[in-house]
Amino acid sequence: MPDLDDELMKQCQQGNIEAFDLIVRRNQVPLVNFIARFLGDQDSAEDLAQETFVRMFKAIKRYKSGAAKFSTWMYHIASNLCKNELRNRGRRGRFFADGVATESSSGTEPTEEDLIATAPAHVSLQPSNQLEQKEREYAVQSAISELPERYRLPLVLRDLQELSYEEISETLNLPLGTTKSRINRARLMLKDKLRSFVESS
Amino acid sequence: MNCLKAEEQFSAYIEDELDYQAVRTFEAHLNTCESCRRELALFRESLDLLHQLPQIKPSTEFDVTLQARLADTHVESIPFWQRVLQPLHGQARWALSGVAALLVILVGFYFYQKTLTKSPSVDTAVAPETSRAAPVAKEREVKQQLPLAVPSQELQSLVKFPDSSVLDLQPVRGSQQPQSATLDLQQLRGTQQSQLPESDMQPVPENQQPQRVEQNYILRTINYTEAPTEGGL
Ligand SMILES: [Zn+2]
Repeated sequence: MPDLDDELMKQCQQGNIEAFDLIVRRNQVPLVNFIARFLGDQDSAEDLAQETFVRMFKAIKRYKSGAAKFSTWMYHIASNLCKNELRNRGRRGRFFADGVATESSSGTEPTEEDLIATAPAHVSLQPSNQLEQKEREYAVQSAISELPERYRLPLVLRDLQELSYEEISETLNLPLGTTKSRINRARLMLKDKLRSFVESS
Repeated sequence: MNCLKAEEQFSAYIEDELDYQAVRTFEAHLNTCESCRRELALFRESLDLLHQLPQIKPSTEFDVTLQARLADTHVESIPFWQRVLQPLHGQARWALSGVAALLVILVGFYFYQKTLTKSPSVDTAVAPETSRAAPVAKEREVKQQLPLAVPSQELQSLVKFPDSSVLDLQPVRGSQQPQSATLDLQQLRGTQQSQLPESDMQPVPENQQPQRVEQNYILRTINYTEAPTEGGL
C-alpha cells in the first residue's frame, strides 16, 4: 500500500515544496500528542513538534523513499528530541509530573475549580463528568510521566500512537524482542501505578 | 508456570500472540492463581484508561509559529557520495563502486609501502570490527598486510581521499541529477548543519558521518562504496 506521506515527500524532493504543508497538516496532531504525552507538557511538545518538522524539512533531499515508513522516520526524529529534552531537564533540575491537559502550572493535584475552568467546553458533557474525566486524565498522565524513559517511549508509541511492534523497534533501533518485553514491562508498571486510582473508582 | 512468567506474557496473551500450547499453559496457571487473575484484570483496565486518553489539540499559534520557523529553514543538500551514487543504477553503480574501491586499495598500498620504511610498529593492532557488508577477499588482504597503526599525518591525507576522488568523477552526476532547480537554490552547504546533531536525523549510515581517523579506515571505505545508497532509513 503506497503511503501518502511518502508520496508527498517525493513531491517535495521534486521541488514541490508546498507538499510539505500537507505533511504538516496530516501529522501535526499525532506528533503533538505523542510528544505531549511523553513529556507531560504541552508547551514543550508544540515546540519540539515544530522542531521535528523543521528537521524533516531540512532533510527533504536525504529522505529515502520507500526504505522505511515515513512515520517511523518522523517518530525517530521526535523520539531523539524528546530524549534530549529529558536530559536537559535533568541537568536543569526541572521535572514535570503534572498532567498535560490539566494545565495547572502548580504541579500539585488540580482543584475542582482548576479542572472545571480548563476543561474543554463541550455541551453534551455534564460538569461532573468533565471533572471525572479530568481526574482520570490527570491520573493516567501522571502514571505515564513517572515511567522511566526507556519504558515510557515504547509504551506511548504502542498504546497511544498505535504503531506496530515492528515499527517501534525500527523507530527506536531496538531488537523486536526487546521492544515487546519493554512494552509489557511498561504496562505492568503502569498497572501498579494506577492500582489505587482504579480501585478507588 | 509461576506468577512471574505469567506476568511476562500478559501483553502477548491479550494481543493473541501466544501459540496454542502457550495459551493453554497460561490459562492453566490463571485457573489456579487468583492473584494473577486479579492482576490481569487490572492490567486490562489500566490499558483501557490509557486508550481513553483524550486527544490534545495543538494551540492556535502552532501553525503560525511553525510557518515562521520553516521560512527560516533551508533544505540541506545531499552529501557528495550520495549524490554521485544515488542516480546510478545496477551495473553503473557497481562499476563506479569497484573503481572507487580499487583506488582506495591502491592508495592504501601506496601508503603502506611508505610507512613500511618509516614506522614498523604495529603494536596497537586490534581486531577490526567485522562490519556490515559482506567482506570480500581483497579486504582481508588489506587487513593483513596493512600496518594498522599509521602515523596520523598520513592518515589525515588518507581521510581526504574519498572526496577528492569524487571530484574526479563529478561529470557523471550532471545529467542524471534528479533534484529540481527550485530546491537547488538552497544548496549553500552547512549554514545550519553545525547545530544539527546528525544522530537526530534518519539513522545515518556511518559512512556519511565525518570519517573517524582510525586503523580500519580502509575497510570502512570499501564497505561504504559497496553499500547501496538506498539501504537504511
Ligand atoms: Zn500467578
